[in-house]
Amino acid sequence: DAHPYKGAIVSTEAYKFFMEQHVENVIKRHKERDERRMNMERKMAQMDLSDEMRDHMLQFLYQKESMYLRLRRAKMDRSQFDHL
Amino acid sequence: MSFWFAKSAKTFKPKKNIPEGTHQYDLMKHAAATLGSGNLRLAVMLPEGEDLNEWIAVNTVDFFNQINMLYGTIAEFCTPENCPVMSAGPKYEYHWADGKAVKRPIKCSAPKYIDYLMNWVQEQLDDETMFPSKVGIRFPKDFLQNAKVILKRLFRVYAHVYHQHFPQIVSLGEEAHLNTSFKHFIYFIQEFNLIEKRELAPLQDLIERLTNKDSSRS
Ligand SMILES: [Zn+2]
Repeated sequence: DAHPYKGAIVSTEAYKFFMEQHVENVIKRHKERDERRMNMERKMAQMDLSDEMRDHMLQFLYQKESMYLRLRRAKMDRSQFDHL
Repeated sequence: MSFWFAKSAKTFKPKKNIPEGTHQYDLMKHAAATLGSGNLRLAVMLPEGEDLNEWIAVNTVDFFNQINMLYGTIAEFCTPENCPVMSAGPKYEYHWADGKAVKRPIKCSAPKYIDYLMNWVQEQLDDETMFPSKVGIRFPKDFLQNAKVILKRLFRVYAHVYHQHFPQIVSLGEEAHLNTSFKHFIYFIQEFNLIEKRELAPLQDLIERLTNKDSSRS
């Protein structure tokens, strides 16, 4: 009789490796995103910018970061099918 | 959208007056190892300037992938014979309904339930109107409500694995990986208040232990 669950059987090693990489990446992405924003703010502080211009530059960074999240999600969906 | 909650509420049946303390549960209580993992509590917070829906979407896909892999490692033990009902310890039992294709809750084995559940979640994630993957497309107005239903259901897989398969998790040496995955999940749903407390009851002790340990350390 077939097992009712039709998803993939995963090896313990694959799961452990995946989780270890994953947690490392979560922390790394969090740090790097913080750093990108702080770098931008540091640079802007050195320049003589209007409030409007600073705001504009920050919004531009936020949009880029958000787009990166969406692209990452699209990629995750596909890679999911690859290993199933 | 209260429709979703009303329907699914019936699929969740707390059983009264059954003593706690199955062997699995006792074992689970004593094992709270996690991966050395930096500060996940900070990492779940909404980044400055980020759209809440975008953040919840990417994390939901992440947790789905983790749970999919986790279950894939113990699926061979989770058979209709071993797990004839979808349960989380002796007190909680789940019947499958998705509120659309399956309206009347079905009592089925855990592997069948989890098969329904994971396929249903995959369908939601693949639905471009619910989880737009192309740049520039907005999330629907009811995105957050739907994401909450997805996360509530994904929690049940963790609950089943902890209550019914923890000895196997330990024998595979996966407990720190599972605990880390689950702790991350809990931090996330706590940060944005995504799952009601009564839904979390099957793992309440574990949740307190996993999350307290961290706050006392930092
Ligand atoms: Zn099972």
